[in-house]
Amino acid sequence: MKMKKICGMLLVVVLAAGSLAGCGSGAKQEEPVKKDAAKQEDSKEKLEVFGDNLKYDPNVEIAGGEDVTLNFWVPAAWEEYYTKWSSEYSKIHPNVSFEFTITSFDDHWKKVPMAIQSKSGPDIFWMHNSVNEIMLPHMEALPEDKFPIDQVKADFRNVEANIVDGKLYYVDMGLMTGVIFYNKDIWEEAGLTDADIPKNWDDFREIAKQLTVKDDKGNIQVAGFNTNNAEYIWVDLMYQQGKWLFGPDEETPVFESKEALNAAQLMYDIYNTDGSGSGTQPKGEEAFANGKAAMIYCWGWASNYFKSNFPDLNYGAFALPVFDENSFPAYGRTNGDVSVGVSKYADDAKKEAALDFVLYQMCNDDMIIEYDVFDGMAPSKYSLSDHPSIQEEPVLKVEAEMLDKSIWPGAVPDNYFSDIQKYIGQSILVNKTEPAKALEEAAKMVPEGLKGRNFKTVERKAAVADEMSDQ
Amino acid sequence: MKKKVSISKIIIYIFLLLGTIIILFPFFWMFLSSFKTMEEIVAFPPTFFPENPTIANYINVWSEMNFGRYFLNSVFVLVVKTLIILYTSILGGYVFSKLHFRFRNGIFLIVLSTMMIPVPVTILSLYQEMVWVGWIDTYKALIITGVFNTFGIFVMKQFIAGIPDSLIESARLDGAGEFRVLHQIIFPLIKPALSALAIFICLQIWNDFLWPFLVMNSDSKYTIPVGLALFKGRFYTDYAKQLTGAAITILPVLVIYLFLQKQFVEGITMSGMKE
Repeated sequence: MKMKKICGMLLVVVLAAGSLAGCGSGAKQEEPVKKDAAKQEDSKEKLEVFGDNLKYDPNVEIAGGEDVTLNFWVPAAWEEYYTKWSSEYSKIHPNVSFEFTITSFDDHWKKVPMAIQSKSGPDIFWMHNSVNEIMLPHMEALPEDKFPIDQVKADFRNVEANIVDGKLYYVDMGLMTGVIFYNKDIWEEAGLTDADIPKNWDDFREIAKQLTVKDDKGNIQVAGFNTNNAEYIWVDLMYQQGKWLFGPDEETPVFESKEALNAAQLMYDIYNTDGSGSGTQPKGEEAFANGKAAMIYCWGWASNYFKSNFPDLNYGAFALPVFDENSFPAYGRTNGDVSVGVSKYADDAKKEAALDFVLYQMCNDDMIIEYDVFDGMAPSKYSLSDHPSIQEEPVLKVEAEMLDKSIWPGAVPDNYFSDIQKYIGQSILVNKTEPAKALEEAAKMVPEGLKGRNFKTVERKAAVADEMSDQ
Repeated sequence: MKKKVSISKIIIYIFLLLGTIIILFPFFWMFLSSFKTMEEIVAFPPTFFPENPTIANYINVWSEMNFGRYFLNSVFVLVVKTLIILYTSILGGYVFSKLHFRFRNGIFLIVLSTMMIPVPVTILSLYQEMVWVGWIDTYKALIITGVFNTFGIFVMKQFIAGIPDSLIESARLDGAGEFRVLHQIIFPLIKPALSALAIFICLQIWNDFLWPFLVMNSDSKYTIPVGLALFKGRFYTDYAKQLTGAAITILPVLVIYLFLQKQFVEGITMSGMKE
């Protein structure tokens, strides 16, 4: 009897849910403003061409005016942004509409490659340079006639480094780098002013010591400095000393050098010799948000983390100190977020529309600025470094200042950085391992993680390459 | 008269209590954190009870995301798929335990061996099949691909094997066909086992993430685990929303468990009838 009741209830739920499921609207489709715009077509005035060197002419008809729907796959965080801008694009080209598939960030790169290889994937998708290895074979390169390389280079940084086998698939929308965030309230309480912002590591260590608060037992209450969860600062310290991360074959990581030891020693000294940091504190951004760290090393994204979740946090940012402020080739490493990718399997009309959308993205300053502010990056486009929206954001402003002295190592597999964190960073900061020993371990383990990975660093293509001592 | 409590019993209860606390602690943490602000969730030192309880996370989860829709989709897939799997498991279990035919044991071994193949190995080819038959972004891809469950067939075979053959023989002598035997003789006897299996299957379906994520492209067809994953950001996770979503998600599983608890325990402990 009971079983009958259960079955009956389940059936009701099935029917209710089934009927609801039947009402599904399918993938999110941007309602193009087709009809109205089409009516206005005849009376439409010529739209203004925009862009710096690379130009976008909105008056050029796309796909011969045929209706085109682009399948656009983006992680949830980018849904609002791309929904808005695709809608703006459809206002210019009413025959082009967009159908969105929203993915989770972590799993975007499981779904997209699988779908695209089986030819059931997107026409256009959110791309990242870390997946070059798996995605580039399925992507349409930017054609020279629509994207003249000299014009692209005149507008954007890092273009040469982004060229793979003579082809350019995307440009950097923005470039992110690591900066020092400092808590202004703690800074002022310690009697420090903006004039005290350190330019070199020696001064930085003194200030970190001054900002550190300990209890009677010597336990850190407020760390002067925290780089937990961003221990790959070691990489920046290498570049600051003019040392490449990889050998001349562009794929073998290098750990045996006095610069490598200097970098590791500095980390050791700040935490263990000076006692200004603790490996057992929470992640840098969380300790900072809770007033448990006066200064942290973090990448630009953290500005939005603080803005969204800790709006009352009073903080500033300054450029990463260097070993010698009078002579240094680079502040450190940078990485970019790139323009959208286009599937090479899309049909001709879709491909034309998708590539046109990429050009629209590259020439549209408002679109680039909104992207960069949202992501916590400085624009890769030269003309936008001084844009008011960038200058009024303390972190973005500092990043913009650092960009021309930053190096992109290329599409280096993520596990290189996570292994650096583990075998150098955490080993030194948490386990207090002697720097030389930590480097020895890293020299053994990091190459293991890179075995079988098809990549070559492009660090030697950096604009500051000539200034590096390690030629 | 006072009942004497032995020391060993006290020790056992202390251990059980500790075990219960350890198991339940993360659930309480999750539930309580769903009433905290993000600021409080990452506070150091952490707080257990919310200092300023808020239901804003629940409002945000339901308003910012299509969570209601994901919930209904999950319930739909759960109910339909569970019913089908239970039925196919009974069929398979009956065939492998009570029908006699050549190579029966060999075929059963082949069926069992499919449990040894890791899901990621088959997922690529299965996905390609879905593309070929045009089932990508349809519920068919979610439901039909998993209607035969090896574990379910195995469990049912074990339970049905315990039912005396004489019972089935006498039904056959009375003129009952195999389906009638199955529905009218076997089915009422395996209800506890079926409840236990239903819970295992429900949990599996309810928590399934990878396959639904891969084959569904429309936001309106996502299930809860897929929806929950959308809260995970690129550089940091919105713990407040993710914990709230998780708290909502486990409620139906709890309800199912409470609903079928008695039969579940019976099913687990039932030793089967003997001839």
